[in-house]
Amino acid sequence: MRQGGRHPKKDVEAALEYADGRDWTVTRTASGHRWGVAICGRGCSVSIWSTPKNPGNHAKAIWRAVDACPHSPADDEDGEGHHG
Amino acid sequence: MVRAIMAEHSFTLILSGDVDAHLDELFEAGCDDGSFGAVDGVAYADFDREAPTLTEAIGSALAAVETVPGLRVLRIEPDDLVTMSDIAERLGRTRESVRLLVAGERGPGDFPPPLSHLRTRNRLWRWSEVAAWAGVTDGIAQAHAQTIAALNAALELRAMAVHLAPDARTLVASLERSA
Repeated sequence: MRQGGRHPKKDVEAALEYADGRDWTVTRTASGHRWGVAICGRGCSVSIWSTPKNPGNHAKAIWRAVDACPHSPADDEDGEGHHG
Repeated sequence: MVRAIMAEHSFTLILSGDVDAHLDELFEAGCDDGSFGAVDGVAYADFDREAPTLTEAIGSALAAVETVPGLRVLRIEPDDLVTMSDIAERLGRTRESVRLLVAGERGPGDFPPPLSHLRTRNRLWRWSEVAAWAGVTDGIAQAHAQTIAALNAALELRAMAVHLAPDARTLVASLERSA
């Protein structure tokens, strides 16, 4: 679910769309340096910077958080499925 | 003056304290190269930090985080712990191909055993062991793994020191001296 606008950095926005597609909630909160937050709803969260030092690295960290979420269904778990 | 050669170092700091309440301070302290999150109430920061050495990268990130009152670094997690898909990515193979290597159905066999989570679908391996097995290891990676192991021991000692009985403290000190 998306609440609020798009992230101005395209790499970060792509990662947020990925999170959204994996049923994470992306919320624009806009306070200080924080653009918003992405949460899985069952215990994971990642704070999103407005101006990360390196948007590509920040985007990768968001992807990693989504992929490593221990609350996702078993068939989505990392690596050991047969979808590789 | 010789300019140091900078490289980007990736590592994760596991944190205690209320990170969300201090994000602006962390940003101002230079942690805009960190991504802050939490899993089940445990806070972490994924850093991709430019520095001449891994030790300097970790040391400066650790110091920056701990300038914020109430925040402490508990542990450093390297990407030395890897999943099957991490291994696939790092070896440039498909996940199915790595699955066959792990199972011994392809390649020379004797794939290193997973470090933990054996009875799950998220087994974890040490990259340093897998890399050595695959013949792609390098001395720098091994040194990094050792540095992080030693730093984690120091962080654990720091966390535990206040709880130590005097005789245990004496024993710890003697171990350090015998290094």
